[in-house]
Amino acid sequence: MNNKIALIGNPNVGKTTLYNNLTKSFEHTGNWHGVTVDKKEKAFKYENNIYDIVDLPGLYSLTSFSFEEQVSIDYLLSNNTQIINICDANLLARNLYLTLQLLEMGKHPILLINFDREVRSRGVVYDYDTLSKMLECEVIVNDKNIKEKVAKKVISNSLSFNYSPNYYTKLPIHEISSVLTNEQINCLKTPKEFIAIKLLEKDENIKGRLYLTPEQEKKINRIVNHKDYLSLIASLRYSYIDELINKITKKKKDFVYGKFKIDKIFLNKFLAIPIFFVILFTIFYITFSSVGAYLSECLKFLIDKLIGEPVTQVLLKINAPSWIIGLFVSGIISGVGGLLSFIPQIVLLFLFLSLLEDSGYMSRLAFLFEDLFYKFGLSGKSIFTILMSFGCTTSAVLTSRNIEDKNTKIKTAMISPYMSCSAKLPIYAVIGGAFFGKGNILIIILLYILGVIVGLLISNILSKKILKSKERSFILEFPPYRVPSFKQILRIIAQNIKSFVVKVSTILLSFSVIVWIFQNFTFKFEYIPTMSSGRSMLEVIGEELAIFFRPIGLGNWGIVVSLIVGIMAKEMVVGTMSIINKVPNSTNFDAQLGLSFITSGFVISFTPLTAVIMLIFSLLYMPCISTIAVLHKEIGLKWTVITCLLQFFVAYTICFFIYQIAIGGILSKILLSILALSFIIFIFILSKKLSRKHSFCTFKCKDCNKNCH
Amino acid sequence: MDNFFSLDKGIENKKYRVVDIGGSEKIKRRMLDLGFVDCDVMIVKRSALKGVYLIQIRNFILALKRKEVANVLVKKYE
Repeated sequence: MNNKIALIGNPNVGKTTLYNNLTKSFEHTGNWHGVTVDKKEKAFKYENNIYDIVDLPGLYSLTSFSFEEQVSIDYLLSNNTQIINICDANLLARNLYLTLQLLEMGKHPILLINFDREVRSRGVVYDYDTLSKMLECEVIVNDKNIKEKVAKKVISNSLSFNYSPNYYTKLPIHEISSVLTNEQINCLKTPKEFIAIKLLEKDENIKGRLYLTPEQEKKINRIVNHKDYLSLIASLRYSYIDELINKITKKKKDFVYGKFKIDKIFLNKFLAIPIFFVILFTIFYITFSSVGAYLSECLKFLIDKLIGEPVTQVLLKINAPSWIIGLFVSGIISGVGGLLSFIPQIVLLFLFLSLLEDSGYMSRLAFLFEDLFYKFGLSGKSIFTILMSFGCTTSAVLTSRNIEDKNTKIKTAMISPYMSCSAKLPIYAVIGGAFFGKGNILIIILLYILGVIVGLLISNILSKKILKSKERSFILEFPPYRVPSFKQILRIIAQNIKSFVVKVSTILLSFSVIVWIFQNFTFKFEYIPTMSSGRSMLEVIGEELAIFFRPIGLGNWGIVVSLIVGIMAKEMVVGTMSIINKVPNSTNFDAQLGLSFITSGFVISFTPLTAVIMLIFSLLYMPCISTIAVLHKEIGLKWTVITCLLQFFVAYTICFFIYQIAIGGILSKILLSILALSFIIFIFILSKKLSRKHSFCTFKCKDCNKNCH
Repeated sequence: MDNFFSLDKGIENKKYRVVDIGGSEKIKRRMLDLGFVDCDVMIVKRSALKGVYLIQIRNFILALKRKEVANVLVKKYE
């Protein structure tokens, strides 16, 4: 027997947490609005029956407001499955608003009450048996036996239900449905009353699905425009809900969900932003400098002892051919082994991001940043995407979906690759570590800040002409502060370690091998180390492309090749450099490896200036291939191409200016002259304007508004 | 009529009664979905630049832009 169950409910009521519990999955959860942006499906087995669970994005009503809500509505309209309507007991009235609409739609949901223990601890007790009788729906409370409860109720629950609400007597439902043909009513597979109510609510989605004739539309508009039915319907639903809540409340106590005294500090006019930066600095310090760096060192030691040295010894013992030793030592171990030592830092970064998400602080940040981000053409909700981009840009791009305005969503997705993701860490650690030593933490923080600033400026430029946001709204629910679930955080960390190790052992491993082959063989496929002379395939390709990078100081073919390989995965930049330089014992991707890049004699060598440019260029130049794929899905081909080209242009321009000014070349002289000239013109215009404002006007102009006299 | 005004002009931590919702259809619908009908509202906090408001509606808190708050017509309690 196969049962399909859709999880439906308001945002942030615990749908994905339930989905994870039932199916033993590791899907992303968080204590903020709009974590789930697409549907997910997985099965679980209980007593020989298989149950397919579909986790859908949260929604407040059956008329969509944002992209992710439309996913859930489309699913409900085109699938006749069992529905579990998850309701947060803290916000029962608002949650039942959606329940009523599901019933009106002809669905027969099972109500699953979440956070009942929390609401009881606040002194409120509900009688769910009465609720079940009044709504004629099964009601279950979430507890440790939830799997059994869901399985049993789903088998006995009927799919469809004839719900006849008694609170809509004042509405012209029959007048509307008489305009529609039977074909139109049947095509939606929902009761005609539901269609009529949606038409009264001016729901464009339902209207579009009915393919109304101009005459029908005219008749319907005449009825619909007669009164403010939108407000009337909401009022009727909420009146009924208030009556329902009164009847089922056994114990009543007033409380405000999401209101905390600590917000007086966290949202304080003067303290809020400094507190946020202190939190961010602490996260970076622990991750990149103190605990993270120490744990990384320990892991490096273990990898060397357990993988690097034994593999080399075995290969030498069995007298393996030189190219096999080269492939393993310089290719695989050098290219991939070192990356594994970044696991502690990645774990710490995701741990802190999870803590921020689960605690409820993220929504406060959206409130704090809305004013500022609005000036840059973004939304306060863009802070979710920006912060998540510090972890992984690929998954962060998806979070932009909960931004209602299309242009703001595109801009948010477009700027997320400018942020410094965890995959760029090896570059900072190796190159930054070599040149800046212990001060590298400061350089890393500056790179994070630079990414944010460039992203904001790009968004600002895009907002001026191309991606103007017409009427942008900001409606965000404040979740309560919650102690993050240890189990859930462990799950997220385990999932991230797993995906990192899988990435290292599949994509990065294969690319390391490919890069090594291209570096060690000629186009005639001759093994270079056994030849007296010869140029590798990589060298030939790299040198052709290097001409283009010379004006920014990165004209070394090895650097160019590393950057190109880095588009596949940013972790590969340092791995490729290490393979190209044939650095011995380089499973340590740290400052020591970076120092080898300073030593002349290797293919890739840096000066302090080229190191700085390399860091900035790596931060900004291009999204990785998986981010490009997600961008394509989220914002379409056109904007993805623009994002990639724009990013490359921005990175190139910034690095060009820095390099040319630093080396004092002819271009720098031209640039400085232009800058000086612009400055003089600016001062001249400013002084003219100021003098005009303050000087006494001698003209007695007619119709002049200026108060000169 | 003096008792009626848009919520953005209200005083922090003072309860008002929602009378009507204005603005575009899309925003109005969302506000109604969230319960801005036949209920009390209160401004909990304004952001530093006064562009965003924290509003207590029914028993929860919402962050809204000032122009959305301005769409909520309220009346004072005598």
